[in-house]
Amino acid sequence: KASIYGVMHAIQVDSVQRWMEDLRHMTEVECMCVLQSKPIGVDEDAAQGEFIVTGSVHITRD
Amino acid sequence: CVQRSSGRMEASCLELALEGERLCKLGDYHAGVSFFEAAIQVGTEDLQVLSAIYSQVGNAYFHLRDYAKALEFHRHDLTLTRTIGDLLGEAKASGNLGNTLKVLGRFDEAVVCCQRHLDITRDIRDKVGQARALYNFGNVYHAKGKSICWSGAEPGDFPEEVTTALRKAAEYYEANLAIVKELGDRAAQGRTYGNLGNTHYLLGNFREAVSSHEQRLLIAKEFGDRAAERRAYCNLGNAYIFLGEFKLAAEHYKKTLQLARQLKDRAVEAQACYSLGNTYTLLQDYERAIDYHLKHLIIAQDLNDRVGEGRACWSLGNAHTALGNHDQAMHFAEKHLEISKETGDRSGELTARMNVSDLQMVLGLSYSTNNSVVSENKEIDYNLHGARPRMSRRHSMENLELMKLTPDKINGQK
Repeated sequence: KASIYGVMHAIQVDSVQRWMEDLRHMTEVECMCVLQSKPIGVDEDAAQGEFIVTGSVHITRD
Repeated sequence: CVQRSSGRMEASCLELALEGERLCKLGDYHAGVSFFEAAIQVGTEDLQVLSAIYSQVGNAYFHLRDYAKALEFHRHDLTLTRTIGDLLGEAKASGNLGNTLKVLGRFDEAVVCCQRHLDITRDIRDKVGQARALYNFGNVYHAKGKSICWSGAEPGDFPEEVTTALRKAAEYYEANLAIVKELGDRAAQGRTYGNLGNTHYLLGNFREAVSSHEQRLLIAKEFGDRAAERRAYCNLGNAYIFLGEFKLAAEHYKKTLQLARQLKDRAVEAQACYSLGNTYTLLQDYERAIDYHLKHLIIAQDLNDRVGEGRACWSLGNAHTALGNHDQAMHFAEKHLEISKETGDRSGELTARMNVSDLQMVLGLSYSTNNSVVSENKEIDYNLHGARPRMSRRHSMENLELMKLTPDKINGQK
């Protein structure tokens, strides 16, 4: 009988353990790619010519 | 006059390139690339313009995630800038090429580009460029460390290579911070603090991770950048978990949840609920854990996320078991089994099967031996991650679910 409960205890935390294993690698990242552009147009408003790619998905001009 | 008008029919290289630039600015990279390639076909004597075209085509392909093409054009740009001795242009080309190589997982080559970018910007005393080069450098090592992390290493047991790469990332981020602080660029500081915090987190330096993310949070608030604020709260929550500060973790996850709801990001909302469910399990507050796991379950169902749903059922089964609600636990264990079979999750299926059969035994035993079973098995040593589920409550005899689950015992009782 005791062994059943031993197993049950292990099982109750294994979903938490699994979550923690994933969590250990999980980070909410800032933009990891900053590309620089070379403007052609003279009236280029983005004087710095930099744009940022957040997580290589969202694109905004800086 | 006639000749002139026919000349007008054929657009010049510059005109085509300007149109390409305009389209890329609008986010239409496919069309932009076509105009740029047409401009290259026409050709130009102006090598600065040609360099700008190569660079912009490279960036456009990068946005389109055609990294092989991006690599090709940033290489052309680098070669050209070297040929004409344009140092600033070479620095930019090196940076862009480095980013592209990084995305392709070619970290050693990316490092060479970052070094060139850094050397040039130092030589020409371009502080802004230097900061960018250092940030890129940090990102390359950060990505390198992460890519090895993900390739199957056990947490907390990273190979030496990962630690070395992540430490270098932290060094470059620190060097970047020194400059962007000097320049007073708060937005750049925010980004670097976030990445530095994540690097420390992966290294297992959770205290340092917390202090970096606190700074990131502060700057996000200054800018009213709620997405960045949400990221910081989530990263802080995660770090507090590994510091064993579960209450603080829960507070930060709650802020994450609040912002996820404001930002209408359902996937993040689900993740926050799941984290809260697990955190309350660690705090042994199973009622709250169930509450959040149910919230997670509902969103997972809405989003048709079967894997998430399976996780939710697994967690719910366990939380109910901890509370002694074995019939409820059985319901979720069965659902977990069904979903893991459907998604082809072999280890999930095995776990669920074990849970179902164990619960069948518990339900059977608690039924047949009446009051005695649970009470005599309290003294069991369990020390997994500080979670101490209680197994003290007896299963309710009145529950009708029991009959469906253990027909033999019921017949026996009769």
